[in-house]
Amino acid sequence: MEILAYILISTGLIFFLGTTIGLLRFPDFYSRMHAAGKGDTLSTVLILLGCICIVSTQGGMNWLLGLKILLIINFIFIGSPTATHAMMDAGKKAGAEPWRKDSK
Amino acid sequence: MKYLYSFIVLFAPWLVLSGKFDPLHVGMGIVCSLLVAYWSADLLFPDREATLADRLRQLAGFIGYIGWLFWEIILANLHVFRVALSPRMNELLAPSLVEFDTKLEKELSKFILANSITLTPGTVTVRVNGNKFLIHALTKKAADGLPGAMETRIANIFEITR
Repeated sequence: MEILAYILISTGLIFFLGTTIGLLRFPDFYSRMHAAGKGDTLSTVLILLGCICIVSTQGGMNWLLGLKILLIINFIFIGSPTATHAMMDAGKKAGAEPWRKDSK
Repeated sequence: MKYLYSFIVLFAPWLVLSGKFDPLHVGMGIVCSLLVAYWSADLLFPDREATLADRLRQLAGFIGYIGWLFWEIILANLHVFRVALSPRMNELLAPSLVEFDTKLEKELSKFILANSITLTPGTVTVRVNGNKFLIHALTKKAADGLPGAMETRIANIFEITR
């Protein structure tokens, strides 16, 4: 169980690395939001699932802790895309031009 | 019946979040859940005609949908990962704004569709206005696949006419 937890957490960290590189390398506001909005969700969920695996091996009343972490995952699933969506909309309203192949 | 549903929906998180099973805490939970269920059952379950079987089918369909969505999210991440790490990134990128009409009618299914689009490969919802979805797509391949299988899946779960 603990090995599974470490695998999940490391995978989450690797995805975070990919997200960060994407965030730095992409050319404009919109495509950067692509990297941030997706990578965040998956890597946070993976890390939290790893936490559940660790917590559930400790016995006692810790299954409640696991359920609480599940609740956090639930809120991230709803909140993260909504936040991404709000920021994209704000960028569109503020008049940020999407990057195109022919621009520069 | 809607009072019973609301009570269960409210009381289960109470048990999880309080984590204490002595009579005092459970009793307080029951009283609070009953009061809130009495006051706000109409808000939680606005469509009255749905039967228990309908709701259970929706729930099962939704859980299956979450599983499928999770797989799509992993694919999305690998996709962003590959584009981000590619040395020829500028050739792979072809950002575009796509607009399409959805056939979904309920607010809830539109919300789920918008969030799912944001989470899946190469596409982010920019704006939802009535039936029009404005999508920013990262690559050409992603733009061509809209709205795709996702809309049909959501329609099958949430838009069944009774």
